Amino acid sequence: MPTELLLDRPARLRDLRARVQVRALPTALALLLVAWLLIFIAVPVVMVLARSLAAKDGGITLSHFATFFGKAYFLRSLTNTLILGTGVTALVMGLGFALAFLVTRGPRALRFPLRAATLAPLVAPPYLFGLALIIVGGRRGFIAQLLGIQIPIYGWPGVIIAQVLSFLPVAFLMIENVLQSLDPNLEDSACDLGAGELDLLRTIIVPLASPGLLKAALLTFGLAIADFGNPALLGGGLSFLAPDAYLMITGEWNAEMASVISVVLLVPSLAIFLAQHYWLKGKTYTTVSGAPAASEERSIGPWLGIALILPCLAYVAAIMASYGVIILGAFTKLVGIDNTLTLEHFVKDVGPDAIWTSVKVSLAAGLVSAVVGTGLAYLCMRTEIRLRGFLEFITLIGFALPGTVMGIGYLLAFNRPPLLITGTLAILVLNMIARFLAVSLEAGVSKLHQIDVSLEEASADLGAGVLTTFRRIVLPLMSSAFVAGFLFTFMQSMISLSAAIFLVAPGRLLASVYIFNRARDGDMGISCAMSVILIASVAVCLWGLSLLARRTGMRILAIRT
Amino acid sequence: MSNQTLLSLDSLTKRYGTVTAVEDVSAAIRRGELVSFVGPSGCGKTTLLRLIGGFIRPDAGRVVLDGGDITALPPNRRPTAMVFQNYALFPHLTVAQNIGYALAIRRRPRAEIARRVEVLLALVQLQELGQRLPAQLSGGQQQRVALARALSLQPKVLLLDEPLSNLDADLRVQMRAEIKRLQRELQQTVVFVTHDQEEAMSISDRIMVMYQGRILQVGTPSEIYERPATAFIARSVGAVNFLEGVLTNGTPGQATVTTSLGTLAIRSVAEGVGSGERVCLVVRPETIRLGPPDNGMGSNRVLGRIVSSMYTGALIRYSVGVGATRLTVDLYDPRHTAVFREGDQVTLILPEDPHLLPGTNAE
Amino acid sequence: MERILSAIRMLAVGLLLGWGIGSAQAAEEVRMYTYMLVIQEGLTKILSENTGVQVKTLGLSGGELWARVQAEKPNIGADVLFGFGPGPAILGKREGLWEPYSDPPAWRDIHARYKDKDWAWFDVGTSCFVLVGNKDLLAKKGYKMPESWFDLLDPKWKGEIVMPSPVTSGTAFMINATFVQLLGWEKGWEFLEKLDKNVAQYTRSGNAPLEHVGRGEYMLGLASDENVPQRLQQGFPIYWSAPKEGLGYEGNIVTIVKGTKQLEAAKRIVNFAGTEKFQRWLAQFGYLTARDVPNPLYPTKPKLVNYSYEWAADNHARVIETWKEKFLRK
Repeated sequence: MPTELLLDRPARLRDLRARVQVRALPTALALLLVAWLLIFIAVPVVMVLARSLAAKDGGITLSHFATFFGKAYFLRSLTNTLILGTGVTALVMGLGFALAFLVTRGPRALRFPLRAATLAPLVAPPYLFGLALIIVGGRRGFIAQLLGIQIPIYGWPGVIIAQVLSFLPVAFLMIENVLQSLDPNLEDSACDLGAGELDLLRTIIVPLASPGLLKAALLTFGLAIADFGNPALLGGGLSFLAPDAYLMITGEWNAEMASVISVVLLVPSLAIFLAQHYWLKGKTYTTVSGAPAASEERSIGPWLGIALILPCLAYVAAIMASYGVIILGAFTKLVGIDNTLTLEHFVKDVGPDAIWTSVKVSLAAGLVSAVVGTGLAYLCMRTEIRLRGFLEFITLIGFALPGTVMGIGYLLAFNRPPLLITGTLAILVLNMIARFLAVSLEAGVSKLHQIDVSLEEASADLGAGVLTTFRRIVLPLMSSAFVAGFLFTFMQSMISLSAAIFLVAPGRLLASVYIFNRARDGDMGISCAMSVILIASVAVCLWGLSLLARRTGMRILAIRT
Repeated sequence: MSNQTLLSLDSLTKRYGTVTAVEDVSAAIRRGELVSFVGPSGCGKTTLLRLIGGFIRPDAGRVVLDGGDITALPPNRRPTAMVFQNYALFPHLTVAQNIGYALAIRRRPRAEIARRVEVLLALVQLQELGQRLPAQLSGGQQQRVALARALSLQPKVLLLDEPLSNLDADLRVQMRAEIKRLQRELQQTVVFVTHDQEEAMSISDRIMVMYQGRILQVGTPSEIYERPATAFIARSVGAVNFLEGVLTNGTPGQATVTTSLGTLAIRSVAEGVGSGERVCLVVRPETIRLGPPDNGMGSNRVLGRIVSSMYTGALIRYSVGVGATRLTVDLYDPRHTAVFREGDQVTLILPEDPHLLPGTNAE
Repeated sequence: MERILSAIRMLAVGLLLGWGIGSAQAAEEVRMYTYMLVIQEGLTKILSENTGVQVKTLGLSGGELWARVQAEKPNIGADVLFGFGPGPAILGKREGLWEPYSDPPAWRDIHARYKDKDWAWFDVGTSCFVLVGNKDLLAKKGYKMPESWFDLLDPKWKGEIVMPSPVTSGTAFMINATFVQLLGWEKGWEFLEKLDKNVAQYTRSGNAPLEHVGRGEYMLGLASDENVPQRLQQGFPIYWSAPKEGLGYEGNIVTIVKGTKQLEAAKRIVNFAGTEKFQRWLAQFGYLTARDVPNPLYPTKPKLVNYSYEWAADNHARVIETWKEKFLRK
């Protein structure tokens, strides 16, 4: 695009907006959407906060918080959670960097297989590796039988391994992105001036990548501390905040303590997420010069090569073994004990029912999220309504909150009239939408950035009103953003657990919850079988999403549980 | 300037898939000279530069520096230094740190680095800016930092990859002179890559014209300009008129060429073209004189009509029609020469010593 | 892109249709909570098939089930509670949460102790908790299955015992209540504290210890007997035993939730629960059913510890609180 037109853009946008006056319909729509967002994102959070301070007689009290910080049990839970976050982040960053380095600068032959293997966990529910670990590890697991060594599964090793396997793909994507956008000339130049590989890493690559690396680390930390499935499955005797909050509600209906735990969990989680999104937004050293060229292979010396490739291979082996084990578990009677092949796990009634419910819920959530997100994006970017900052912020809150907190919040907010919707499918759908709307919104906004304002100017010039222009010109052009939002929300709704587990009811069971519960009860066959079906449906979606991203150059937000 | 060959490229070839970027290129670069590789984008000049710098390995051929084969050496072990097109200044390091990077990598003592950085800053006249970050500098300043940084190693060969193309027009001219001055002062051997022929001609000791991966001609700027080896080269170093015709050899130093404009007498020697064969006359716009219309008599005089004129300050560029042919004619110092308007009839006086190319001007 | 959009449009329409059809509670659809986790699929099937009702089940462990009922009342999200503990059943009756069903035909010839005198709840059969052990691990160490509950206190079992947590599991409540009733409050908790030293982890459900032990993750477990017959049949390498002091037991209660809109269907379910057909089915899983039918696990009735349902109801909260106080550790 000629530079002169670009420079004129803000002015022309202003003109367009002035022309598209604040009319009744767009305003009403906007207000409606804002109200909806407030009800379904802000209210649950407020309820949780309120409940944590609620005294029996209706006043405000800090006694619940006092209990939390007074009891050794809770303090240990808090410490465990923080230790978990730190440990997992360190491992993920190290491994993620090694993988990303090899994928962006290593031998070309390695790149695709390594990348595919690294991203494989994205289609799986985050506790899948917990499942696999249970089957594979332990005293009588495969590894013990084959190699004679025991991998302890319950407790720190299990939880950490499972989390590392689950969260590495997200960190990897961010690190890969950063490494990819480093100007290759900088590395060439450093080499030219005499830097060897370690010098290069130390003085150039890591310093320049550090904002991006920090972002990835913060995000991983946030994911690790908010994770419910893995600590619940593999914690053994250890306690962590998210499962504790869950236990408070489901075991005892102690909404006050559950809310306190939620608040304690919420604060670092939210702070970290907002920090890495807002504060680190502009701070990159990477070049903005369009699409990075396919990076040359770099010569990597033997020591560095081994140091990089061994952990990567171990990781890849673990991933493949996990998937293999799950498939095995799905098709054998009692994996590890009675290995006769069978399809019996696929035909129990409750399982397929749950999958079907998940599909319905996810489709609905995906559709609504895409429509609302796209519509909101348009309202923000092209009309006088100056709501973008606020809308982005509130949807981001919905995205950043630990699922556990959202789940509890929904339970508290919607189990009384006027909005008695607990026990219905609607609450599940609304919860998913609230959690993942941010992605549709961001996709829409970023796409609208790319669409030239003059197209809409022309439409207005020819006499079309706002809605007509939206429907006939903008929407078709934004379709890729629409589809991206849809697919992402669908995918995440299918596998997400931590909020849904509070909101299920008879006949309204989600596959992820069902699988998880059966796994906790020790019924591996059904868990594996349903997981296989779940993964298959999500894999198809992710493939579609990545195709889209590559074709249109859109950036998709990181993925949450 | 010694005549010793410092850098020798032997039959270098580099292919990317089915595309050959550099095809069997050989060249010898002398100590202390500034050589430019010139050509349109895609001609292979940057690839060649990167082969010299060690960022790419050739599929065939050798790079020999100062008698030693460096083909297998990675960039960090070659005594070459490159200034990249976008300068590639390390954004997280100050100007001083950038310039001192090579020395810091080699673990030189801090005092030594500081001294050297001072010297280099003075060399490129950026003395006060040592503590700034690259983002705080203008384009021209960044370029000078990049230069200073490359020179910090006292490289045997300095490689410049289109260093001036990101600068504004007048800054470019200024920097050209700077680079030339530095090169002379330090007696630095420089390989310079550019697509701008005027730039190349203004500072190079020798020019190597490239096209589609091959070197078409090597020579001094005046050799290239006045005696281009092909019509393509002629076109790429300046505006030019081609007149095709048939050569008739007469007495030594005297020949005639029958063209569409008539028969012209020329004093040039045509190498390799025999009598009766087709030649192409390379006539530069500034070598044609214009005068008021007379009846066009006399050797090398033809009548024409001004089709269009473009005033650019130092000269007026006319497009003159002679029959079906259009000739470009440049008239310098318009204040003191006759100025013609569109539609005027004029007499063109063609030069008697145009450069001759065999064949036609098709390339 | 166009194709994708129109595909999504079609999807949306289909969804709306399917939603509308499916979402209103279908005629004759009954929502059920159960803590019979292992057999929940089979249970759903046999109930649906024999009553013509579409049963939708949510499996929750004992503690979770009761907590959920407490959270949801008076708008409890189920029509029938099929399988939960007698303590909560009695507490619920006291709160007026159950819809009485007077004299269902299939229950007429069942002993009175399996029916609430006011027809508020029905006991389909008792289940016990047993001691299970892993054959291979025991053999490797040369240990034998403990004969007395007190043998479990031996330090050689440290880190080798797994049992459920009463915060979530009804079985665990049963276990703790059993020992406390057997030994008295003080001595009972003393025993449990000593036992805790050997416990590796407390699981969510009463069946999970069986799975852990069967998988060889721990040597011994205290588990509900619900899944034992099946696992033995499937080849789990386990022993199970009833130590000499006796087994604890609890009834498995079925009630109709007050305020249900599917009263007719709910009644059919409760009635079917008392039939010979259902009782025979249930007995397969080791339940000591209300009707006297062949039981693969217990050819003869095992020795049971004296257990009072009323006591369980009265001390329900107290037992759980005490347990949390003492054992929610690490």
